Formats: sequence, structure tokens, C-alpha cells
Amino acid sequence: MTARRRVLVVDDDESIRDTLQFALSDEGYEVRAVPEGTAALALLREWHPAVIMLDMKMPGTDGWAFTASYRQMPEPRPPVIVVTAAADAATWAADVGADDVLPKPFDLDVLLATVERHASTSDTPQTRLHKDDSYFT
Amino acid sequence: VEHSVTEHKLQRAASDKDPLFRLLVESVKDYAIFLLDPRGYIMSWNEGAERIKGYRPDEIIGKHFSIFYPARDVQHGKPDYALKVASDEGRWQEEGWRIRKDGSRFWASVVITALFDADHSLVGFAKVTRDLTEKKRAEEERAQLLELEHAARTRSEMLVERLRAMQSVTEAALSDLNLDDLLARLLDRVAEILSVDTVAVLLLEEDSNTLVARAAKGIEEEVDQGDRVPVGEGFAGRIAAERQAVILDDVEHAEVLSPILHTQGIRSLLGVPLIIEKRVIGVLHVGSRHRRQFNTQDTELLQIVADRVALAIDHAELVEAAQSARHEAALAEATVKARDEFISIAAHELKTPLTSLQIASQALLRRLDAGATLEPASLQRTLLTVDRQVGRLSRLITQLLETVRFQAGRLALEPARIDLVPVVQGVVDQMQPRSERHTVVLHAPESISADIDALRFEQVVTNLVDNAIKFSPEGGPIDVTLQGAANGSIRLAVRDHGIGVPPEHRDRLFERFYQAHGTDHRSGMGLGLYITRQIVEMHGGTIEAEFPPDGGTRFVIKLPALEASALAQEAV
Repeated sequence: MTARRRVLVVDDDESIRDTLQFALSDEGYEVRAVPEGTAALALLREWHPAVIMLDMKMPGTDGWAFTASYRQMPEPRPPVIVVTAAADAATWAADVGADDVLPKPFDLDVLLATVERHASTSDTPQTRLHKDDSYFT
Repeated sequence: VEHSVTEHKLQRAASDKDPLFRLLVESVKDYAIFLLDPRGYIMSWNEGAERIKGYRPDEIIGKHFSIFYPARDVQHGKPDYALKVASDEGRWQEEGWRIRKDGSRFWASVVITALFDADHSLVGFAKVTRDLTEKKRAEEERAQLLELEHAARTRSEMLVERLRAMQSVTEAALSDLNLDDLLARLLDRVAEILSVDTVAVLLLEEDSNTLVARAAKGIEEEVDQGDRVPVGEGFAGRIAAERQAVILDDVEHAEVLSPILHTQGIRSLLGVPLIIEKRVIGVLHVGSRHRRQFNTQDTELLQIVADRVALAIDHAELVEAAQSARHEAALAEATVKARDEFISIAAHELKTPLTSLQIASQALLRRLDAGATLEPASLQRTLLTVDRQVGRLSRLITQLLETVRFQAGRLALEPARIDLVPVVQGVVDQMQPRSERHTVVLHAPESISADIDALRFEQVVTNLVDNAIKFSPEGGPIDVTLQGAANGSIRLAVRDHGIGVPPEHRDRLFERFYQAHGTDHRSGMGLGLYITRQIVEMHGGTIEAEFPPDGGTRFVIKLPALEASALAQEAV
């Protein structure tokens, strides 16, 4: 398994965290899930995912506050996919400069294709490290 | 003898002493200059005297000078009095009417001077008379003109005043006040213009063909009591029926229905119809406490004012109709907006469990399609998620439907004598597994019996515990306390140690769709507490939110002791 297959899920809904973990694990992704932005920012310091799936409305640090802090982190940064049930999902995604948006509900196929597309082009220190690793394996 | 001596002296003085002077006197034409003897008999006559009084010298010399006075003056002894004053004081002067030979009157300026000889004894009088009739007439004409001018000025001033008053009525009528303020202002003006004690406006209620007191000054009770006068009856009714002004000079002898007019001591009344486009819309009447004869001018003025009042009422009614239409439109808009928001919130809430369901089930299918083996533990966990999301969806849909039913007033209680403790325990047991971070604890006696709709009560407890979990994201204890008093009343408290409710949101906590944390938390649809309160109130109880100083929220429900039958009755 490479870091290309690491996904961070940030969502306050337990069932969403569970099902995304379940579905993405099946495809070989390593998934970590947290209920809000502050926990996500803390995790990002030590764990480098290829993709971040971000809910917007959350108690504590919400999607807007999270992306504001996230933009302060050194580049390269993994792409952000906004995942929301809100009617104005696309507007919110544009607001925070997200790389993609998945309006809830969505098909598993769409989820997998979207994650795969961003994971394969993701350029983070960790993915590069793992690319290098692959030379030695 | 003595008299003839003085007479002689006088004549000598007049005729012999200075012929030139005599010539002068005789030829003066503008003045009647003649001599009287001490008793008032005429002794000489000049040309002026003849011209003014019409007598020739031979006709008048030797006659008494009282012949020139009007009979009335002679009766009053005025000629003798004049001579007495002249002899006592030397001189008598006056202006007054005198009579010519032809009997016509002329306005005379008269000076009578007493004449004394060297021994200071009276020898007669010199009388000088001027005809001032022309002057008098001119003066009188001038006075008359002045009077006319004065009257004209007074009249025009009054007209200007009325115009000004009318202008103020018109201005008031056109101002954008509401009808009540407008009428109050107009009535003040009317009272001022006509100097009356009472003013009242009655408007026609078309359905019942009745006049209803709408505004009044001096007889405000009429409006307060909502006085009604059928068209055709009484004073006001007659005005509306006849479509013309009615004047009552004395109320006591007329048919006036309003007892208020009697108790207020109104003596005289004047009323005119309020007409818009040939349609009588009401009556305007004024009253006076002292007996007063309202005249045509008053009537005309009141009718002019009434026309403006009618216009104002028409105008204000249009404005009010427009305002109420705007208000209704705004209300409808707000309702639509609230419903749109509700639908948007509902859609948002429904989409989240739907996403979990969709992904979980599709992931399971994908595994089966790939021919992968499913570990029982993983399968169980996924199916548990599916099950929970189905339950969640079901609860959301139930809430939506119940809200709709509450709004339509179609929710009946089915109360029965039950033990509340197992009901609440059941909720606690059901809710506990939904959060690992919370400890839901019930504090209750062995049993509490009450007449209650068990399903609804369960729903109340579920909502409150669900809220407690939602709004204490850090976890911690949730205390559910159930107490029963000796009188049969019940108290249920649910306490969390969560984020509480900001003070600015506390007032509206129980409103439909109200989300105290709506902007920064996914807190649901804002229906839980609304439904909870509806159920509690249907049981005749109360719900309050308390915010303990050490944080969190405590919801307290108090239900009175009620017989099941009484509740069932109430629910119907």
C-alpha cells in the first residue's frame, strides 16, 4: 500500500464516516476519519493523505475554518473534495477553493472515481516519499 | 318799557353805528346772521338767512326763533335753554337739525352770542347759522362707506379664515395618516371652524344598512360603545336616508336616538351626509351645548368639509387596503420562505442518512459482485449502519409528518393510566447505544402512575435525550430525572453538560424550525423542541429550559395530575 491510497474523511456524521471507511477500505485505501476540523488539522501534521474529503457544516471547526487554516500549511497540499448535502454545494466548494465537490447523496461509483482521480494526481511530500520508496521495493 | 329801550339800543347798534358793517352782514350769503332780542324774537335778517331758511325779512322779523327748531326740540325747551346758556356763559354753540320755511330739515351749525351794553345789561343775541347739510351728508356717506368697508373686510377676513381652515382640512385629508389619526385630526378642525362642542363621524355598514360611530370629539363614548343607528332612523339615520343636511334647532323636541347626545346636553345639531361618487358612505354631524340656530352658511361649510372628509376616508381606506394587502403579501412571502427553508433543511437532513445507506449497500453489492468473501463482523457492522440510517430516516419522516399534523391541528392524544418509569427507562436504554461518549442515567422511583399518552410521552423523552446528546459533543453524563408528587403531578428533567444555548437564542427555542445552533452546527430541522412543547401543552403541562451556571442545559417538563377521561375530552 502506498500513500496514494490514504484518504482523510472529515465529517461530523458517524454513519458517513463509517460507510466511507467501509467502502474505501474495500478498494485498498487507508482511511482515517475525524468529526471536525481541529482534529483533522492535528492529524495532518503527522499523517499525510493523498485526498481530503471535507464536510462543511460541522460543530467545532467547520469546513470554512478548516480550509482557512489548511491554506496556511506548506505546499504541496493534498486536494480537498467537499462532501455536503447542502443545496449550494458547488458554491461552498468554490468559496473555499476546493478541488472537487461531491453533493450528497452520491453513487459509490462516483465516489470511487472521484477519489481515484485526485489520489492518482496528488502531489504531497508523502506521496513523493512513497514514490521513492517504491524504487527500493 | 325797559325792553323797548334795549331793543332800541340794539337796533341802533345794528343799523346806524356802522353802515359799512351792516352792508357786510346783510350781503353775506353763506351764513344766516341775525339778531334776537333778549327773549328770542328775530330783529334782523340777512341775505344768507333768507337763502338758508327760505323766509323773506318781512315774513320772519318779529317771530320767535324757535320756529327754526323741530317740534320735539321746542317741546324739550331747547331754544330757551340755548338762550339761557348764551346769556349765562356768553355763548352757545351746537350742531343740529333745523327746519326751513318749506318744512325741510337741514343740518345747522349754530352759534348764539349774547350782546351786552356798556352797563353789562343784556340787549339781545347775535345768531350765526351755517347750513352743513352737505357736509353732514358727506360725513354720513363716508361713515357709511367706512362701515361697509369694515363689514367687507370682516367678511373677507372670515372667508380667508374659513379658506385657511378648509385648507387645513384638505391638508389633513390628504396626509398619509391611518384612518383613526386622520379622523381625529379632521374632527379637531371641524370643531374649530364651526366653534361647536361635538363632532362625530358615523360610517355606513353596507351589509346591515346601519351607521356605526367611527370617530368623535366631545362624545367619544359613541365610538367606544360602537353606537349603531339604522339608516332612516334618528337624526343621523335621517341624514343618510335623505342624503341631505338636517338641522335640529332644539334636540329636546326632536327624534334623536343617541342617549349620549342627551347626556352631554347637546341642544342644537347640524349634520350632513358623507358622499363619495354619489354613494352615501356615512354622516358627519356637529352639536352645540347652547341653543344655536345653524344657518345656511354653516351647512354649506360643513358640507364642504364633509366632502373632504369623505375623500379622506376613501383615500385612507384605499391606503389601508393597500397596506393590508402588502402586509398579507409579506406574510405569505414569509410563510413561503419559512416553508422553503424547512424543505431545504429537511432535504439536507434526509440526504445524510440516504448517503450512508446508498454507499453501504452499494459497497456490499460491489463486494458480492467481485466474489469477495464477506467477513461476518464487517457485514454485521455495515448492516448495522444501514439499519440505523433506516431508523434515522424513519424518525425524520415521522417528525416532518407530525409537524404537518400539528400545523393542521390534527393530532389527538390517546391517554391511559400507565407506569411512566418503564417508559422512560426504555428510552434511556434505546438512546444509550447511540453515543459511546455519553452516559445516560435515569433517576426515578420504583414506579409513577399517571394518565398519559404513552407514545407521545416516550417521544418527548426521546427528543430531549436526543437533543442532550446532540448538544454535548464532548460527551459526559446525561441525567434524566423523573419525579411524581403526592397530588399526582409529574416533573421530568433532562440535563446535559454540553454547549448550552446562547442567551440571544433562548426566547425562540421552542419555535417551529428554530435552530439555536442553525448556523454552525448540524442540529436537525428545528422541529424536536417544537413537537415536544406541543405534546406537553396538549397534556396541560409546561416546558422550560434552564441553564445551570456550570454549563449545559436542563429541560424541565411539568405535567399536572389529570384524569385520562378529562385529557381525552380535551384532545377532542
